[in-house]
Amino acid sequence: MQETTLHVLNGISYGMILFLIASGLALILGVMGILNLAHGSLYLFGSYIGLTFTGYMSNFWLVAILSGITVGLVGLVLERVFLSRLHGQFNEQALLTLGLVYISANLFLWVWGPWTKTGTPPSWLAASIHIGEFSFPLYRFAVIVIGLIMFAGLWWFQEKTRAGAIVRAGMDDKQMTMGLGINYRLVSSAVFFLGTFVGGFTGFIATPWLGAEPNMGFRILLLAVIAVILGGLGTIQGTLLGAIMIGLISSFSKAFIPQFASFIPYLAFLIILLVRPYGLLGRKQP
Amino acid sequence: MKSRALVIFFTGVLVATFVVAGVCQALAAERVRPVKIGVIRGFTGAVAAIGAELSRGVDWVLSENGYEIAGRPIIVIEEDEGETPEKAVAKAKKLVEQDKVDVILGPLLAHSTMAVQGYLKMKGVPQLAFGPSDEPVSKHAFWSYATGRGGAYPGGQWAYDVLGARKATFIYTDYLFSHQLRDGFKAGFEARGGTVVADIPVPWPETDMAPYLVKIKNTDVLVPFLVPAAATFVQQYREFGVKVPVLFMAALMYEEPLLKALGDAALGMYGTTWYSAEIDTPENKRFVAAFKNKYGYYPAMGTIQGYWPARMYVEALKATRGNADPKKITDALLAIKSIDTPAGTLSYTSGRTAVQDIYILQVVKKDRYAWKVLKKYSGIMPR
Repeated sequence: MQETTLHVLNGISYGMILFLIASGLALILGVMGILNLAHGSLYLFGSYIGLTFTGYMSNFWLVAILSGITVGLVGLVLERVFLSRLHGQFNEQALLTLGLVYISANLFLWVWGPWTKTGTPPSWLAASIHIGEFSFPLYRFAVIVIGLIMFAGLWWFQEKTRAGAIVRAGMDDKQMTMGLGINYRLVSSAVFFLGTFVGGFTGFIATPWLGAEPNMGFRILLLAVIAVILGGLGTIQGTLLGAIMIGLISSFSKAFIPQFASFIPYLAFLIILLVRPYGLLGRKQP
Repeated sequence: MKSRALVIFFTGVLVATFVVAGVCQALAAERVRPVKIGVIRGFTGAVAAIGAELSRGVDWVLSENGYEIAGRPIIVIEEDEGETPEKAVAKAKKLVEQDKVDVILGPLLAHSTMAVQGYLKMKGVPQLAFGPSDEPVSKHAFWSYATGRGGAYPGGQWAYDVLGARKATFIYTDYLFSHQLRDGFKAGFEARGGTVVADIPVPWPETDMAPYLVKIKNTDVLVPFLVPAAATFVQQYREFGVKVPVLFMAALMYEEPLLKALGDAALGMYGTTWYSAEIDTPENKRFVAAFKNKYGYYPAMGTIQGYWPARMYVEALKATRGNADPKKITDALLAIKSIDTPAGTLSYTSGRTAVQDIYILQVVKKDRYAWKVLKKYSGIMPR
């Protein structure tokens, strides 16, 4: 029973990290229709730059926000300089961002070296709670809380603000939205910044957990894409649901059938899409 | 009449001199033709860190010889093995077909080593790998190790005899080398009467150990070998409050820079491997001092992994007096009785794997985090 509790906790906390990574991607993919394959690399850049910042300042949360801002700025440059020229051209977007994945992997290797780096959680969260004969790191609970706060924030933005309404309108009908005199370009850039900010922020806070290694960007991206599509494009609730599901499936399959655990999440993804092609909570795009 | 004969005679001598000089020069050039060594080691991926050390180990041996053997200069050409056999084989092809190397040192990873061996066997080029693998099938391939299985066997015995463990759990990154280590450790452990209670394979890129650590129960010793997850394993082992003692079936990933980054988290963990900078022999003390003096850090297990194949090849090349012909080199390698290295003695068996010394180590903190030697098993045979 304790073991099952631990597996569930592991699954939910891992799902939350995936949600945090995926939410940035969901915003960019769902809102702007841009396929940014470099999102995992941006996440990883957040991990690395955050670990470097910790050499200069000790406030964990400040570093996390700074990492987010740094990555957000990089994302902004990426959008303004490169991606804005490739509007609607998915193949070109994929090629460009994939090229960035390779470049960044080698850049990280060159600057930060090949050894996996791990971060440390803030000291008041570094303890572990006892669950039967095991301990569960308090930090993983903290990540669940952060994930929920982030979800609440993004959901409020999506549903309750004018900006969120503009974004949703633009997703459904960009021409009409622009025709109503709304500066969609400004909104696009702002959303891209927000999406990559979240990616960079998550990159740093995940370092005590997943570590930072130059080649992990693409694998992280893959999991995030699955969570987004599984949950359904267009809603943040969908992304949360998709991420938690992947987290739980991963956790249990690793625990009970480790030899197959690498592909069970993808298998589940396949099956669910066969039944619900727009994802669990997805809306059919007009 | 006489002067004409004289002119012909001297012209003949002149021509003969030129011809002989030309032939001598050609022969001399052939003898001074450099020996080209192809090195396949990690530049990218999880093994990039060890790759740099391997390179250094090779360079140490060659520098000691002034990059020249029997009057022939040595040229080294390095290529990246990546993490997959395809990449390693592609590089082997380039080194053999384009660069025309005389020998390949490397690669490191067990699965890539076997793949490259298959190609080099076709081409008849000698190969001395940086890491252990299954027995070589090519008659020109040498692994400077008692195979992964042989090397892990003493660890299994030590776990039973000294640690008092009767039940063991394996947790490892799922690839060829881990399987070899596990089989060796298991054989040593079961030979003494121990039982293996759990076997947990982890996919190569997985770094989150949480789901696996939670499954560890009812066991006396935890026997890991993890590659990309090496760092997160130790950290999360502490976070999840796992109390079972850890004995790495190969301590290979935990070089001193990683131990330093992990700090107190790795203290007290045990491991088994072929080298520690703390080995207390005069030869090693000299080596460590010279190395530290030159590079500013302690030599690593990876350095020795580079050192061994380079050293054996150099000894063979000296024995053949600079003749890099594959058959002669192979015969020379097999003829080496045993050499003394900083890591202990090494010699090749007729099966072209090695007989070597294995150490049981423990992480301690002295002036730095280091691997202290607890016990030495000498003359370990391949299995």
